[in-house]
Formats: sequence, C-alpha cells, structure tokens
Amino acid sequence: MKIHHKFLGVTLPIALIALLMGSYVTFHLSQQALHQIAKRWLETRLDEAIFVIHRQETFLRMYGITNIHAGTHKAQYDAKQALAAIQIGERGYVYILDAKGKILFHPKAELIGTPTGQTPWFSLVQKQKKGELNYSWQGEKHLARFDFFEPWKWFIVATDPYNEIYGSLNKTKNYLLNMALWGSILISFFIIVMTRNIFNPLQLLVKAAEKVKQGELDIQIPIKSTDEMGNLSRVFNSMAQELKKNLETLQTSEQQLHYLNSQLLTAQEDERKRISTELHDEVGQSLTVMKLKVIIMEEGLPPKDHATKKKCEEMVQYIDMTIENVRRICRDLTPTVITDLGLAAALMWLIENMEHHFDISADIDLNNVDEILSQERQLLVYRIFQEALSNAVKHARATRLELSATQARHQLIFSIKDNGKGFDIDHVRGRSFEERGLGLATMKERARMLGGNIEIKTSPGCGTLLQFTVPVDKGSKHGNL
Amino acid sequence: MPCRCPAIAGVTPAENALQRLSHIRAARPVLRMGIHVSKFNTLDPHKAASTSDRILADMIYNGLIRFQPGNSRQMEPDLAVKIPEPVMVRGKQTWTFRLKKNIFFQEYSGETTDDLTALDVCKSFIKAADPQRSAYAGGYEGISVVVTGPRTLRFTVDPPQSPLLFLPKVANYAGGFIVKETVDKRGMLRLKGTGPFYFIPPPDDHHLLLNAHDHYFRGEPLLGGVDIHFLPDADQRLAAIVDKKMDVIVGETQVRWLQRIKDKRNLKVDSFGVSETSNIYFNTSSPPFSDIRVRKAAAYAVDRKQFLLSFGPGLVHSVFSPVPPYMPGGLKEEEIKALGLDYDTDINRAKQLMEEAGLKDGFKMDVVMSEVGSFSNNYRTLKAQLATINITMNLHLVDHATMHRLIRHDFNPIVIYEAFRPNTDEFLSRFFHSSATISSGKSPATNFSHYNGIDKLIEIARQERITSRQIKLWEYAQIKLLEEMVVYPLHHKNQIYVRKDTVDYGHPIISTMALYPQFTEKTTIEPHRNTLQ
Repeated sequence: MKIHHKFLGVTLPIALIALLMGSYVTFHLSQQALHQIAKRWLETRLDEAIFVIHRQETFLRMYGITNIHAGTHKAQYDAKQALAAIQIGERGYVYILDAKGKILFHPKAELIGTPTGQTPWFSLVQKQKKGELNYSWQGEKHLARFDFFEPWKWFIVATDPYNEIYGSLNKTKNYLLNMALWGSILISFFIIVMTRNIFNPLQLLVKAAEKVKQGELDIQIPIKSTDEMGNLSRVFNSMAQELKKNLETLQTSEQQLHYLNSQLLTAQEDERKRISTELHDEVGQSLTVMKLKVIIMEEGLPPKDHATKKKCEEMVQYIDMTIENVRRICRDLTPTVITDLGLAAALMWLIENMEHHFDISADIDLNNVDEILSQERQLLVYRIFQEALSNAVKHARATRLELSATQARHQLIFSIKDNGKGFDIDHVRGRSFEERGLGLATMKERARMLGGNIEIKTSPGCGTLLQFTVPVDKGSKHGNL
Repeated sequence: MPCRCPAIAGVTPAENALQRLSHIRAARPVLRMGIHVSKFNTLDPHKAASTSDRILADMIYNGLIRFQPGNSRQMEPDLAVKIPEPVMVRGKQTWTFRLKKNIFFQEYSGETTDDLTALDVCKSFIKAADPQRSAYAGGYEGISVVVTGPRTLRFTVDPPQSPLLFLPKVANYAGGFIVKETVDKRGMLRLKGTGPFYFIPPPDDHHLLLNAHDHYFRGEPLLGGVDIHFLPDADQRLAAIVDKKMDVIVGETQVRWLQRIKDKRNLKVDSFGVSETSNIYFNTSSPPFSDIRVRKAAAYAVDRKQFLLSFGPGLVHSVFSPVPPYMPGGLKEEEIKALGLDYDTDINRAKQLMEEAGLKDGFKMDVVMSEVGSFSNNYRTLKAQLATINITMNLHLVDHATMHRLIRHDFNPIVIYEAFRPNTDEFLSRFFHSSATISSGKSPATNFSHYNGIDKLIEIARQERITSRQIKLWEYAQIKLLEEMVVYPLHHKNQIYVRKDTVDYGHPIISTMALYPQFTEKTTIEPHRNTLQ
C-alpha cells in the first residue's frame, strides 16, 4: 500500500467522523436554539395578541362607549379579526378559550365551539393562567405560550407545532448529512491531490534510489519546489553525483587491486613454479647425484665395513626421503599432476594425500572438468580447493568432505562441503584485516580471476558449504581466463 | 330656504334660446340629455341635494380642487394652483390656497367679463357655511377663511381635520362649489360659476339649456351646449334615445329595461360609481317609530333580498350598515351578522314586538314617494313587507323635487333615501347628527330620524387624527344606530347611463361624485351630428 493510500486511509475516516460529529453538534445546538427562538417568538406573538385585545377593550372605555351593548361584541369581534392576522410561521396561530375551555376563536372556523375543558393541558392552563405549554393537539405535538385576559375572561394561546419549529432544521438534517458526505468526498479528493503532490517527489526519490542501487548514478531528480522535498531532491542529486565519483574512484582502486592481486598470485605461482623447478632440477638432481655417489661409495666400500655400508644405506635412505620431500614440496608448489593428469586427478591426489595425513574421507564428483577449463584456470580452481580443504581439515576439523563440480548453462559450479565445526561468518567478516588472514580473501580473488564469485554458507556446528562459479564460454573447450 | 334664482321660474320658449344659441355655436354640437326628473329644484350648488341638481352644479361650478372627472378616487387642483399641505399656526391647522390666473366667471349678455379673485372664493365659502344660504353649512363648523392676497386665501380649521375630511369641503362638491352672487339688470339674483357651461334663462317645462362658457379656463368646450330634457318616464327616455332625439339618458336600474338596450348596436350602457346607498330612516321623534320596539318590528319584517328583486340580479347589492362597506367605517355583512345586528327577517318576532308595543293591530301612515323608479320600487316593496305586521303605508307619488321638499318637512314617518356622501363623517353628520335634523336642526340636512344619539361619537371621530381610531368610532356609531334601529340599511347601486356611441365624454368613467358621467370641456359628439342649424 502506498503512503498516500495509507494517509488517505487514516485521514478520511477522521475527516468523516469529524464532519458527522460536527453535523450532529450543529444539529443539536440548532435544535436548542430553535426551541429558544420559538419560545421567544410565541411569547412575542402572545404579547402582541394581548396588546391587540387590550387595545380593543381599552378603546371602549377611552371613548366612553361602553353603553353600546353590541359594542363589547364589536370589540371582541375586532380583536378576533386582529388575532386572525397574527401569523406564527406557516402553521402556528393564536386562539382563544373561554374560562371553561371552549374555543371562542380559532383560525379554523370549524373548531370554534370545541370544548377542551376535559383535556389534561387545559387544567394546567386554568391553574397557571400564564406560562408555557407542551401539548398534543389533533395528534401533533405543539409548543404554546398562554395568558389570561381578565376583563373578558379569555385564555389567549399562541401555539406552533413542533414540526414547524424544527421544520427548517429537519430539512437541514439531510442537508448536513449530504454536506458531511460530500465534504468527505471533497476532503478525500483534496487529500489524494495533496498526498500525490507531497509523495510524488518522494516516489521519484525512491525510484532514483532504486536506480542508484542498481548502479545508475547519473540520475538527476527534477527540482520543482524550494520546500523540504526540493531540498531533499537537491541533496539526493548531490549525493548521487558524489557517490558516482566515489564509486568511480573505488572501481579504479578495485581494478588496480584486482590487477595487483592477480599479478601477485600469478607471480606467486610463477615463483612457486620456479622454486619447484629449481628444487626439482637443482636440488633433486643434486640429491640424485648425491645418492648415486653414496651408492657408488657404498659399493666401493669393503664388504666388511658394515658400519660404513650401513651408514651409506641410511644416507641413501635419507637422501631418498629428502628427494621425496623435495618432490612433494615441488608438487605442493606446482601441482604438475594437473598438467599431467588434469584437475580431477590433481584433486584426487590432493584428497588422497590429505587422507594419508588426516582422518578424513571424501566423496568426489568432478567429471568432465578437465575438458572445459584451461590448465591455468584448473590451477586456480585447484588452489581454491587446496585452501578450502586445508581450512576444512585444519580449522574445522572435518572428517567428511564432499567435492563436486556441476555445469549449469554457461558456468561451472564447484562446491566443497564439510561436516566440520563451521564458524560465524559475520564474526569472521567483522574481524580486522590482519586477524582475518588471507585464506578467504585469496579464494575470492582467485574466483574473481576465474570470472566467477564465491559463496560460503556456514554457521557454528553446522559444517561449511563453499561454492564458487566459473563461467564457461559456450562452444569453447577451455573457456576464457 | 326658498329659491331666489329666477332662472327656473322663467317661461320663455326654449326654441328662442336655441335659436340664439345656434347663431353663436353653429359649428359645435349640442349634447341632448334625457334626465329622470320632471324639473330641477335649484341652481344653487350649496342647496343642491337631488341628483339632478348636483348634475347641474357640476357643469356650472368649480371647486378649489376637484375630483378627477370620471374618477372620484383621485383629487387634483381645480381653481387652486395646487393641493396644499396643512400647516399648524399657533396651534391651529391652516390650509393656504393660491388661485390660478385668468379664471373667468361665465359671461351673460350685456355684462363685462369678471375674473375670479380670492375675495370671490372667500364669499362663496362664507355662503356655504351660512345655514340660511346653504344646505351644507354644518360641514363648515370650526372652519374660517380669510383673504391673504388677490389670489390667496387661508382656511383655519379648529379643531384640526385630516385631509380625508377637509379636502372634500373645498372640492367641487356641495359647499365646495365656488359661486358668485350677482344681480341682473332686472334686479334679480343671479348665480355665476366658472364651469364649462352656464345656464341661459329661461327654461320651459320640457327642457333646460346650458351654453358653453367660451372663456372657460381649461379651454373652450368642444360642445356648443347641453340641452337637458325632463323625461321622468324611463320608457320615454329609452324611446327618445332610440329615436335619436337624445344623445345621453339616465338609465334605469332594472334588468328588463336594460335588456331592451342590449340589441341596440349604436347605444352604450355605462355603469359606474359612485354608488348611492339606499337606507330606510325611521322618525324616532314621533310615534309610532319613537318606540324602539316598533322600529325593530319593522326591521324584522323587512327582507332586503326582496328589494333586490325589483331591480334584477347583479345591479344592486345589499348593505348591512348605513355607511356602505366600500367607505371607511362601513361594516361588512359578516361583521354585522356576527354582532347580531342584521335583523334577519323574522315575522313572528316582528309581530311579537308589535304586540309588546301595543300595536298588535298595526297602524296606518301616509308616505310620499318619488317618481324616480328606484324610489318608487323601494317604497312599494317596503309597503308590501310592512303589511305583514299590519303596518299600512298609503303611498303618494310625487315628482322627485317635491318628494325632496316634503320629506324635509317631516311628511314621511319612514324615509327611503338614496344618497352618496364623499366621506363617512359627511354621511353620518348629514344623516344622524342632531344639527342636521330636518326642519329643527341648526343646519338642517337629511337627519330624517331626528336622532341625536351619536352626536358625540361623530364629533370626536371628526377630531380624531388617527385614522384607524376615527374609523373605529364611525363603526361604533353605526353599531349604535343599528342597535337602536334608527336606520335599516338596504342596498347600494351604481349609476346607470345610456349614450349613443358617438358621444365621447372625454375621460374614462370609473366613478363620479357628480352622479352622472360628467360633461367637461373635452366632452364631444362626432362632427356634424346634432349641430344646431
């Protein structure tokens, strides 16, 4: 999941909840406010109604026309007409009850004369004479304010159904919900756009970093802003350039190092070869001559000079042993068996030789290797094996070895597996260069000289598996070195 | 007050007058009008009470301001330059008028041209406020006028009055007409006005001729004159206009009569306001109607719906308060019914009241009624209804002017009167204030009921400056009238006139205070028709 999706996943529910809560709070507060307004409004209308009635009643006395019998009826008639004109919203109205609860005036003429004296709310009206009333009328809840007009014994009631009081709010309810929904959608859209704007440069950075990881250090991120992302891009670009310079320097150093290593190893092999040749040709010949001279000298000894003969024989034996040692050293220095018999035989010889000196056994599966690799490469392979087996026997104290070579596509995969004590490879890698020794490094360098790489899998108590590959050109008998 | 104007008494043949007129006005048409009365009562606008007298006054005289011709709902300056706003001076309300220039009184043969001055206007209002010389003097109580310049004069009104009440008093209606009293060569009183037409004496029994006033300040009239014919019989009037002997006639508010005009393509019927209200007034000062039980008995015996039948549906509408509902203070049917003052027909209750009054067997009375159809119809219907409670009315048919004179001398214990008044105060004051009581009041007018029970209410309403309270006081006054059954409201009806389609009044007609379509300087007939040869 991308970051902006996560961001959206987090912010959108919060926004939606916030909007819904806001809508609810708005609705609730509006409802309270409307109730207060309605009360105030009804009170105002009621005051107006009382004023109208009072004015009519006062008019009679003010002009001394109370002697007109129909005058009071006229005043009451006028008062009712005036009350009919008092509007309370669209459904609210003012009506009049007499002292017994009979409706004297109502905007709906058919209700005039209706008794309400038996209703529970009228008892309250009758008792309080002035106040607020919540009641049901014709199946609908109403809010009302009422007052008593003493001269005519009238209860004046200003009322409005709750449906109308909250009517606008109920309409607003759907509006608020819609607003929350559309608000969420808009916020989502906004967040998507914003996160895209924020994370697009980041994604560019990620892609660039991936390219850097893949070695493409020429990458340059376009800088579109001066904010933190812009700075980050700028720093990234600088870093990539710097990295490229360092990498180039490193590569040059590495190449030089590899060159030196390979030269060193080559020199080492040459030197070994020279020493081996010198030992073989000079020391070996000398020892052989020496041996012949001792034999000749022995043969020239009186037969009875047993002691000298014996010493000559011992000397010959010693010279043979020395010659053998020289030969061994020569073989060790330059495994001529590779030249003579091939890599597989050389490795076989090496194993057998080790079996003589150490308590180990080995399974070897090295078929067709000789045909594929040149002698120089076989020597490198041999050296890797030699170092690996030496490590297995000397350090891992392995008793069992498995050597194999398999061909896959265009490479040979050599593996040496032992049942030794293994080691913590990270620990070894963490050692200083001096502590680490040259064994592993030499093997890696030789593998690199072969054009392949080496891999070691090991852990303490679990033996060690060393594998290295050697590329082979298709159709080539010996491949390249 | 006897009429001192010699014009109506003259007997010179009309043909002579027409001949004289023809020499002067050969090119202009003379409009011939058939009127529903047999004679005029007076040319004095301050005494004009009947419809016919008001018609004459409208053509001859002007006011300081006027109701717009054809639309009495709008007022505009007439002789005055503009309608002023009231100003309070030392606690008293004043209204200052400035007269227009070049307004001339009508010019009679051998007399010099006489232009209108503020003094003339002032004298006219003094006359209007004089009960001896005006039937409308009561309306000018508390109003004084002084000349402040050759063409300016100031009214002081104390207590102050609202524009609604004051302005009609200086308009072209009743006492508001500006009239100049002069003496002719024979030493006879002559009344002159500034209107578009003036009277050429003498008339005969058949018609009366008005000449165009060429120096009329609004312009020379398009008509050469107006020839008014006395045709009280509605059928005769109809025949005259059908025979092209008349151009305009007073219509009859009766469906069958109107039906006869329906097919006449060259005739047009105009129905317009102001609406006149018909009420039944009881004389509360004399037995038997001095007993409220008898008045109420009569009221319960009356069925106002039956009165409508004699006119036909749609032409006349019932009213339930003396002041009609279209005027401020007029009460509506539902209101009167809610108060139980509609006196819905109840013969048993009427009889019971008569019995309680000791008149179980009823009584007889003599009553005069006008020749005018609507009056006679109403009286006959009333007679039939009162007969159900044994009240016998002996009806005497007289001409319209005679009826007006006799009912002002208390001949009728019951008076049915059709009237319009420009405002509610005028209506209530003229019909129910004690000062307007016929024959005995301070300014006798039309208080046929001899009633004084709402004097105080009328007076305080007149002084009330808050319109809503003023209206309410008028309403309470009427409630008292109905509670004491001083008056029984019957109905109101529009004016009906018939004209030839060639007659152009010069203005649209919505309503006129003059109770006729109003002939002005713009009124005309299509060319080459009815010109005098």
